[in-house]
Amino acid sequence: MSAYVEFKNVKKVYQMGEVQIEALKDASFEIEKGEICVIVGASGAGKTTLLNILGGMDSLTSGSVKLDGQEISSFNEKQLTTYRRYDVGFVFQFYNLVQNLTAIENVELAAQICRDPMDAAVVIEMVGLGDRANNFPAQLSGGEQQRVAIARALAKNPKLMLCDEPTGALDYNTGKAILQLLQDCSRKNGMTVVIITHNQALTAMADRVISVKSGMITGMIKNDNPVPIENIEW
Amino acid sequence: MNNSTVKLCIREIKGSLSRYLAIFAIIALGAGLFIGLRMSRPDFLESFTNYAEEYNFYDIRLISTLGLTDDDVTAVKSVDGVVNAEGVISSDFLYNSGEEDNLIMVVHSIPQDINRVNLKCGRMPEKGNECLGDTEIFTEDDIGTVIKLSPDNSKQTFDTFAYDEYTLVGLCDSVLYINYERGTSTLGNGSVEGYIYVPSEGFELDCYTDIYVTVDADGYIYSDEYKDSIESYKKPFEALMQKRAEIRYNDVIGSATEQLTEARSQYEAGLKQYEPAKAEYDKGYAEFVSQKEAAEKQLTDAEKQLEQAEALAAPGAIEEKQTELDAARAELDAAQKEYDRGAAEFELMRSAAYITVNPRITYYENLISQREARLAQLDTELSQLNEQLKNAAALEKTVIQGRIAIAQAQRDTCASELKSAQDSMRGVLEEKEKIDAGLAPYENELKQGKAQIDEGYVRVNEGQKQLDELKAMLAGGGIEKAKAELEQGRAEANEKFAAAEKELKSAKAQLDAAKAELDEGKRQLDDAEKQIKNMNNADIYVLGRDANIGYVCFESDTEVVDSIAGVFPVFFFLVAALVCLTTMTRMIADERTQVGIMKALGYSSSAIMGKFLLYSGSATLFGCIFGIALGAFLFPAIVWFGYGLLYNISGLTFRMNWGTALVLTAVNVVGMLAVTWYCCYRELKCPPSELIRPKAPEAGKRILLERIKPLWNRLNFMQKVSARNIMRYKKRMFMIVVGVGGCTALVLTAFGLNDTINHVVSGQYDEVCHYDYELNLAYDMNSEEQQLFLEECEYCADAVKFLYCGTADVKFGESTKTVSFSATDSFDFEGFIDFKDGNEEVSFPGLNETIINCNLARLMGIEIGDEIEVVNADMNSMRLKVTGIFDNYVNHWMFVSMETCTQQWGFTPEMKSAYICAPNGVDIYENAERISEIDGVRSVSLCADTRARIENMLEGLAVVIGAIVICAGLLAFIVLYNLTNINISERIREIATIKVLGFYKSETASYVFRENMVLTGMGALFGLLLGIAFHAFVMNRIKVDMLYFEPYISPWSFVIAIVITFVFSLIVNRIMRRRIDNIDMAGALKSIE
Repeated sequence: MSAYVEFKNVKKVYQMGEVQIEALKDASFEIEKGEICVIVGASGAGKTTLLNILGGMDSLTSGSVKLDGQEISSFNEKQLTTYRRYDVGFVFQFYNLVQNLTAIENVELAAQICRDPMDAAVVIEMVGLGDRANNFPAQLSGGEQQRVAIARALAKNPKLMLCDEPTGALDYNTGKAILQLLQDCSRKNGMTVVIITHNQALTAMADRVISVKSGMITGMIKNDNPVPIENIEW
Repeated sequence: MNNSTVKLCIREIKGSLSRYLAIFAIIALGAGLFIGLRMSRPDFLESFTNYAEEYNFYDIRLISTLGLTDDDVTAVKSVDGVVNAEGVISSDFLYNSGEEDNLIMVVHSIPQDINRVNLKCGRMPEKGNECLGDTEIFTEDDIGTVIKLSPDNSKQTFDTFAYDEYTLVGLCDSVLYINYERGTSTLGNGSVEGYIYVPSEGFELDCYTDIYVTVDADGYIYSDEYKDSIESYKKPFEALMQKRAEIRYNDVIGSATEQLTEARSQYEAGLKQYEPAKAEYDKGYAEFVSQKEAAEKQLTDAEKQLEQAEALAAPGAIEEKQTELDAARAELDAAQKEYDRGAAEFELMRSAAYITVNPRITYYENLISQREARLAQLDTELSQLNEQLKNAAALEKTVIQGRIAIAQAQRDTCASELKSAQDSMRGVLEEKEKIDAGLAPYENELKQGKAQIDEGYVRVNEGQKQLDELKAMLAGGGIEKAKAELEQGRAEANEKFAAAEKELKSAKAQLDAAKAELDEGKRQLDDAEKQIKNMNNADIYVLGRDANIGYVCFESDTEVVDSIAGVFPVFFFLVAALVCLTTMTRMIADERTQVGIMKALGYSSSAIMGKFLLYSGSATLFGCIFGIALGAFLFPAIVWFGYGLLYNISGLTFRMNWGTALVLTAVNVVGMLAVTWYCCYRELKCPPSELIRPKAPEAGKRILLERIKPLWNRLNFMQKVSARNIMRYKKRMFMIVVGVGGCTALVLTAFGLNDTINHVVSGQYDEVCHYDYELNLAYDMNSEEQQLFLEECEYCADAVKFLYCGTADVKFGESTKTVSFSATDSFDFEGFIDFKDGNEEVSFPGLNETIINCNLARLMGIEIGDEIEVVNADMNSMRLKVTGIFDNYVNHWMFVSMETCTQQWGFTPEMKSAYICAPNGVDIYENAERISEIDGVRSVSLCADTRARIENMLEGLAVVIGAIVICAGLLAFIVLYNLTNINISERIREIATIKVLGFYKSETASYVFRENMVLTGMGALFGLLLGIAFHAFVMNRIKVDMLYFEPYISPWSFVIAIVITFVFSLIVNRIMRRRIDNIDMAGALKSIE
């Protein structure tokens, strides 16, 4: 049985004017279904590129990427959009909620284009915002907004949840709460979650840790005993 | 503002060129359109002025129906203020072109100074039979062709022209014909095809038809000042012309009368010759008849005689007759002898009886004569004595008295003796008479016998003579010969009479011909006489330029442009300001962080502002300069191109109103700087620390619509999102609605303009005026003449309405307007004019009442029930109560009853006009020709011509409308582009999020553009309302006095306006979609501005 997510010799070159920047150099790794995977690396290491490629937001120069047997690297733009639509859920550092929609509406926005969405109200309840469902993002705290973002990703019932620095804009406690939420999601729903961070401390909670440096995978460790979130400190 | 500010600004411009260009473009468009449309009419008027000056366009035109002379020209030149005057001839004829027969050509003599022609190609005519042609109907290739008078021209026309054909040697434009209008004619169908110019030798008239005058007039072309100035010249000219007209009338009447008299005397001489000839002929004929009868009787007699002779010619008859005659003669001889003896006896008896009386008679005769002599002697003596007694002295008296007594005694004796002698004489004479009476029976008997004998001799002699003739005849050759002679005589006579008859017949024929000729002469004379009698005093006309159709059309056409210029540019300007405001607001918001940094670094507010002020200020300034420079040429040129199709004024003169341009630029720049300053100021108020942090995105809000649950719940999720987004960005909503609404409004106004003018045409000629021709009659027809006229035009008219038409000035309050004044004796206008007020029938005016058209009422503020004063050209005035206002679009009209005129003026105006409806299905132009040939018709004007003139106005307008539509499109485009652009940049994260969430391209696009479309729809709806208001405003500004532009927009125009708006909107969406497609999701989501 092949891995759920598979990166094989992925290379990404950005053309910046006359200069070519190699963001990823021959990156290969695998992630199993239902795992929480943390990709860790310093700024500019290429982890965001990696996430973009995995999330179908960017194309790759060479190599192959597979999710659940689909060859994503060969998708055209439309297929990539469909891929994002049905298979991937995103959680961003700055939440990226639609300001003009209430919490529940933001969830609905994602849900209504899916084949088999979860009920928005249920998801909102699940992330603990049942009483704030009808608030606009501007009326919510950062943590609450991130919960909405997670709810939005969850509602789509994706195969893969990609989180880009989900705690980056949050204070310590809130960050932890969010991580807890993500972990719960994975555990309860068997969701494959990929978290990108520069925070080494988070690696403790992961089932799998992938280290990135200067566009290369420097290590892939499978952690059989993840530490509960409350025990993680940074 | 230091160097780094400039550098920073230039870099900023380079970095955001599209934004800079957007400001530049909207400012350029606004300024260009403003200045361009504002300058259009002044440019046109200037061009026309130049053209008019170059070719010396007339100021006043003088016409006399009897023609004008060189003396008139001299007289006109001497009027104060006259610069020059020139007499010219113009007339018209029918000609046949290759395609069509009997087209009307108007012919002018080539003027030397006033209204000079503009030779376009070829050369000027050198001979009388050469001409310059109309550029509208001839091309350069036609030079050399010959224009021939059609044989259908009247003799009078042929007489007017010196030649029957003219060779085209060149083409020319004329300032008299600046548009396609060529005027009307009394010939043919009345619609003039074109003009030619010939040298004056080409005419054979001895007078001018027109005098054109240039005067020292004040004011610019079409200005009120100019009109007033010309008006002030009219009075003296009218007076002068009136005087000249009388002179001319006397001349013309004099020579005509002279000619008539001569012709009449010739006729009479002819008649004099004819009448004796006729009498002679009659006498000859009578003679011929009597001779013929006599000859026939003679012949018949001869025949009878011959028959008798034949009877006598039987054997023995002659001898028997001779014996009879001889016996008769012998008897007579015996009777003669008896008579002679009886006569001798009677003489004897008488002389014996007289012997006793004759001697006594002789005695008494002597005695009586003696006594008479003595008595006379004594009377003489007595009278002498009485004389002496008177003179004698006393002594002698006694002696003389004694002698008188003696003489008296002697006289008495003598007298008694005479008396007795006379008595005796009487006795003797009685005796003699007794004797005579006794003898008389014998004497009578004798006389009778003698007469019988004489008669008997005559008879016998005659019988003898006849018998002798007969004998001689029988001896000569017999009856046969006589018979032959008779026959011959008869034949000869017949021959002779036949010849005579023939001669008579030819004489008769000659006479009849002469008679016919004389009759024709008589008829002509009568005609001529009637003409002279009917010849009125010359009608004179003093006309200004406003009698020139081209001149008038040019004014109203350019007026339309001007009224458009009044409203649209202002609107553009407003929208431009709004667009700039949002753009600059956005720009400053974009640069918020940078502003914060600069402020944190210690730059002063003014230094920071400098960049933005320089940015917006330069964009505005350059936009203005570019827009004004281009617009001042482009828009007049475009509109001119449109009108250039209608007008042949060459060379558009561009003018620049520097004041307006400067003010416009200043207002733009100052306004823009103020806006920029305000935006900056708002930002700069904040402390730097706040500025450096990203501005919190605008919070979401519930909208009013959500409270309307039934509606809100019906919307699907995406619609809810759009609805909320639309309401979220109020400024943007406002801008799009105004901008797009403006676009719709402009398009609607432009098409509405077209509709309204069309509506004038269809309203007037399909709904109000149903007649086809307006006739000018030569005289007021009485009912018999009208009947005759109706019979004559039976086949070319369905219905005819006679009425009085004139012009009059209506005075109400302060204002005065000239209107068509019509009076009629019965208001049976059905089928000619519909008098309606909306849907209601307008009832006809009674005594001292009138009905007027709605435009007049509107312009003068007259309402039903008001009393107006009406003064006609002869200064007769009347006061009327307005009882009805009827719909009408062309001209001003008022109608009254004849009774009103009669009562108020004291006389009944002449009905010298008529409306005619053509029968269905006829060619109205051909029909017009037929009508114009009817006796008494002076001119025919076709409603179709007026209609065509107004419709042509639309052609020129088409280009203007096109230009407006394009500008409107540009406006919508710039507004939508700019706002969508801003919208996208503001919401780039949101859009990226949507994309990341897996919205397909089209879904993403519709997520954004649904709002655009809804806003466009709202804008379009708003625009329709705005457009109706604009349109009404523009229509209200178009002050073409004679036309009533009732604002009307057809449903189609609404549809077109909306469609065009959406098309522009879709184009913008199409372009902006690429931008959405190109949004880098990862980048947008990662960074925080």
